[in-house]
Amino acid sequence: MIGWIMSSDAPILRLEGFSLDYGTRRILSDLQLTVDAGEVVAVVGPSGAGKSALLRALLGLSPADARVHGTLQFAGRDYASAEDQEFRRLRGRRIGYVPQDAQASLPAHRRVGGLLKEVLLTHRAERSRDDRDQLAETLLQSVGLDASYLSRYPHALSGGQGQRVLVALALAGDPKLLLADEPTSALDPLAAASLLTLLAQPARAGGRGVLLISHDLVATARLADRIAVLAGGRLIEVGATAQVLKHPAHPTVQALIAAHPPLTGERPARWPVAPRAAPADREAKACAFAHACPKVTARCRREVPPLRPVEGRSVACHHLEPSA
Amino acid sequence: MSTRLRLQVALGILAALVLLAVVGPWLSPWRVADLDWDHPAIGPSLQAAHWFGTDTLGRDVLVRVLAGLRVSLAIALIATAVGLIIGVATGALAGSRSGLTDAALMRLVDVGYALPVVLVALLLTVVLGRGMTTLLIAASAVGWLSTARMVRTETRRLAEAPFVLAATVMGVSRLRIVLRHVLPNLMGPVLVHATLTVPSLVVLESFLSFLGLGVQEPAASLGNLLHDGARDMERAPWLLIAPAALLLMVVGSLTVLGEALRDRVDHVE
Repeated sequence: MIGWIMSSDAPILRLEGFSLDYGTRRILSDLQLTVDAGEVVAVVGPSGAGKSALLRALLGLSPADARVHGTLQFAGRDYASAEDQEFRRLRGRRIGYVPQDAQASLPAHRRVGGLLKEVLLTHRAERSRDDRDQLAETLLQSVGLDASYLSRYPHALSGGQGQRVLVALALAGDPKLLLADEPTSALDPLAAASLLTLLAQPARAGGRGVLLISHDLVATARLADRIAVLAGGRLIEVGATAQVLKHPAHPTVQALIAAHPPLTGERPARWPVAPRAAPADREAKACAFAHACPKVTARCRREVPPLRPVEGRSVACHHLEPSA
Repeated sequence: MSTRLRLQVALGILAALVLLAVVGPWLSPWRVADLDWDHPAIGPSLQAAHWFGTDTLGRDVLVRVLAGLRVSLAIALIATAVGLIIGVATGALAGSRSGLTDAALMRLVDVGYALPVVLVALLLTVVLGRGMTTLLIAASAVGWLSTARMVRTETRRLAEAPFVLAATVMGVSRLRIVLRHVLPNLMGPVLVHATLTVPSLVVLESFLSFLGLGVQEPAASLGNLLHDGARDMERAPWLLIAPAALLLMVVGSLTVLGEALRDRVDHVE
């Protein structure tokens, strides 16, 4: 492929000082994030934090009035100011996408096999028809479904099976980066667990990068190598999964994690309240949590805390001393 | 009445009418232009073998209304089909593109709506003369407008659907998405729309032929039969009653069928 030069050291996805505006409204502010080959990174955060906007921006599907600032790189190539034409070459082939709701995302009148072959025809047109038919079967098998599912219609699939078909479709173009948008939100815990194993596969075995968007901490804990917590359009804590979940540093992340008590059957004396972040603002001069944080100081109201390294992770809070 | 029953009754009546229109004229001993010199302008009579009577020239009314129904239906069906093809193509194109293409096509539709049909038909008769061709072109020119609008709106709506987003993100080309993902999902509403377009075009055909702009003697259509019937309404009311009753039945059953289908499609969605 012309122009797609993979340098071995460049991460598959790199955001640096990445901001996103819709018109005059700031949606995402100053994001720093990388996804390396073989790595699963989860972006978690409450509704309205900007998770979906981030996904759309990565796919080049932002609304017409959207503006991107900073760095957006796929495998070392800059896409911050790329035209739709360039993103079109990425979609499906370099970036695979697993949507949220299988029943809504699969057209009701098309068989699974027809859909798979259509995507294969789009991205593997150079292969023979027999090759592509064979590939469709292999893809289904790789997500744990046998060839009989090729002739099924979406309504004849369970939620978990539908989600598996979506994974197979996302992998059909052999992408280097897999984006998953809350892929387990409609599944029961068992189906969710097996789907998550499946999603980790491309990263572990295939050397791809996986970016998982989720508000489900359980799912995240099971799958992700690293967690990035998004609130009010900013990243407030980024670090290794175990570290962030066991010893969260940012007050809001602490509250978020405390809202998932271990299943011991005991009720917590009182539920922690995670303060809502102030909406992203281009001229923000204060921490997004300054209005609700118990530890708030004059500095919090004066200065947006930058994401700084704290005890082996990155946190955006004035109260935590940066480590060297 | 339940939707199902309405659907069945309307379909039954319609099937009977279509069957009569197609085979009726063959079964009759009379032909459309045959003159029966012994029985001019008689009322319905079994003895004379004119079940619906004859007109002032002695032509059999039954065979003429059936042949007229055949012509009227054929014109309406062909014009609907032509309108459907143009309308779906235009609507899908306008709906899947934004900006200039969309605006240009939709303004064309607005202009089409703004022109009175009779005026268009009159101008066409100046160029092409009176007759079926003129009628077909006029009816097609009207038929595609509402289809184009409807398809554009539906395409716009479906463009936001998750499965279209999913296909876009999988890298499927825009043309393919429109043809394989969007249009098949429009078949329900388009079918309903077409079923409701046919009766309106039957009426349009009758209207234009009634004014003398359409089908010409000795050929028959519901419109020119109504014209003749209205002329002799007081002396020979059967000349008016037969085509009027047939027009009422065919338009009524098509409309009921279309509305029942619409309820069904809505219900499924």
